[in-house]
Amino acid sequence: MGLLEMLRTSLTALRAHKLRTSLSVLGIVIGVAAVVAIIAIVNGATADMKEQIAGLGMRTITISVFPQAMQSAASVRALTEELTTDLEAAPSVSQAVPTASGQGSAVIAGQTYQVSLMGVTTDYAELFDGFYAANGRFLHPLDEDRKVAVLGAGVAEDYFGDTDPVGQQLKLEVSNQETAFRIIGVMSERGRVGYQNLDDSVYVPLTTMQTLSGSRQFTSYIAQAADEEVVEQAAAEIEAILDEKLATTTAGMFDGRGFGMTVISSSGGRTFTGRASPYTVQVQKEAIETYEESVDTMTFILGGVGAISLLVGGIGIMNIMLVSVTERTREIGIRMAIGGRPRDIRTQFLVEAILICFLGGLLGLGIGWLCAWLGAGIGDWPFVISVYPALLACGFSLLIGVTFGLYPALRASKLDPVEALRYE
Amino acid sequence: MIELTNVTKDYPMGEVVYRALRGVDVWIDEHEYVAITGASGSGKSTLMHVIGALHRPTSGTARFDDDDLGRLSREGLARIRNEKIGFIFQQFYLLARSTALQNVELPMAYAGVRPKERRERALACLERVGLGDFSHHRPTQLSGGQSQRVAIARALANSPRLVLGDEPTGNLDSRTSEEIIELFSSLHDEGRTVVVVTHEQEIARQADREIVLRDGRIEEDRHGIA
Repeated sequence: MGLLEMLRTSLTALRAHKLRTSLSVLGIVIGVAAVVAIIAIVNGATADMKEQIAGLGMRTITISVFPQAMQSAASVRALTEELTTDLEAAPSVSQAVPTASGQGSAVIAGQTYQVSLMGVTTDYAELFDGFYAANGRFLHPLDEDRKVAVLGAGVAEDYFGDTDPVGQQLKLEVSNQETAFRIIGVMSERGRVGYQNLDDSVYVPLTTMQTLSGSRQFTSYIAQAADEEVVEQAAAEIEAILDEKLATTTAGMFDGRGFGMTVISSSGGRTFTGRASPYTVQVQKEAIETYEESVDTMTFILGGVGAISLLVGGIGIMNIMLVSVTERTREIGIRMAIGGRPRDIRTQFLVEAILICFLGGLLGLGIGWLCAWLGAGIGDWPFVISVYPALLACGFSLLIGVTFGLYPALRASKLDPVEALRYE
Repeated sequence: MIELTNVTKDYPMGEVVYRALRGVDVWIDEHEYVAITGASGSGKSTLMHVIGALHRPTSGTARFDDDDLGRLSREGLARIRNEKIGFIFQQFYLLARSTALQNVELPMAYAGVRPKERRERALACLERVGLGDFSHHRPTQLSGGQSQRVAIARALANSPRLVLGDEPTGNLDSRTSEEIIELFSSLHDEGRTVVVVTHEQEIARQADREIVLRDGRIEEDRHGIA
């Protein structure tokens, strides 16, 4: 009997028990949909995250410093603008920019909002492609110590709506001190970069920020390597400079013993246990790798859950096929008596199991993609549709069909024709 | 055509073994019309299963043409049943979900006949048994006599040389039985070998040979009664 014939026979048999077939198919649908959705969502989120991290520029090196973790007052005092000069002196570093971030309250039209404040230099905007003053202008060297502010696109939209903020007054409260700023520009929409959303900040001159917070320290530096090729080398040079400037000064007011936190310096993969490292140096490539590692773990766990539900679906198929073989014992006897070979009987039941699984696989693929598409909409990341989940879903469901359909099919083919005919 | 030499057949019944055939010698020639009779439990059904390649003998030899049925694989036995034998059972044994036409087509499907030819031949078989207008009826829409006719049409599908009946009139009323018995006679008249297991004297009288079984042995083998 030809395969097409077998398919038609199987379809007839499956149609005879619509509810039963639907439930068996559902078991596979859930499993395949789970696996497909997980893979597609993780792919989309990863692509989005990579884009964001890469958006900072592959040459960018982020240096975060933690004054609390420093072991001497001298180290803390070293966190000045001079450090940028030292960093820029490193052969593989082309540019280093200090930033000082903080929280403040903005009073707009009588309402108080919490905003993220960034004290930056004029070079800051140049670090990111597509980040420019869409309205008005960005900070200028002449703005030093002046009370001027540039708004991120999100801040402008949230607090000013349709009115043009440029030229307006913005009251900022930092360290319990309210100061009036003049808004000189609104930045282009740039979105998230690394761990920061550029649209959600208010940018003020670094010097102004330092005056307001009463501290001349910086919370982070952003450096550019001379070339993408030398990023790692630049990071190593920066670490050496920081070690020299910050950690080698022994005498100090902080002994560090009070800090139990562990900071993993992603640059060298070194772990400072018991005592926090006073800084981290992160290059984008490593950030991506770190992210990918955690994504792999997630995929593994979630994929495992999907695979288990597929397995459960497969067991459901086996169960229903065994019931079907028992119910149709007489039919099997008839088919054998008129010349159906054991091979024909085996194929027939196997085709039936595979058909259920394949149907489930196709439906699951559709539903999985739908879930991934919805997830992409909610999570605001690209909907990545790839061939692999489709092939995986079809292949896996076929495999399940064969695996769990084989035993019932073999059992059917081994029946004795006479006994099968007499079966009531 | 069929040569059974000292055939025995055992069935395991739990701990004990039940011997249904205790050394049977039967030769059936081409174009014979044989009735196998005997009380229930005499082994006549078992004998039919051995002749029909449904069961291999426990000992002795059973030959169908040149094939030793005891040595054939299950696949090989299935091929013989498909090509050389047409079965007609007491309970008709039609596939309930298939139409009369599909039921008749089934043996040809297993034989690998192309769909178009299969359809034509199946229709011809249905017409041969007088059911040309019932090809799209399902077994539930047919009377007992019609169902048995469909079963006969199915048995004829692959033009077998041997037609085997297992109490073919056991589930039919006397008038329908007569029609079926006549159909069997005509199959024989067309040149087929017909072997029927029955306890109805009507059929036994139509046959030109009657083998009477008793306790797994041949008690009587009467030729030329017709």
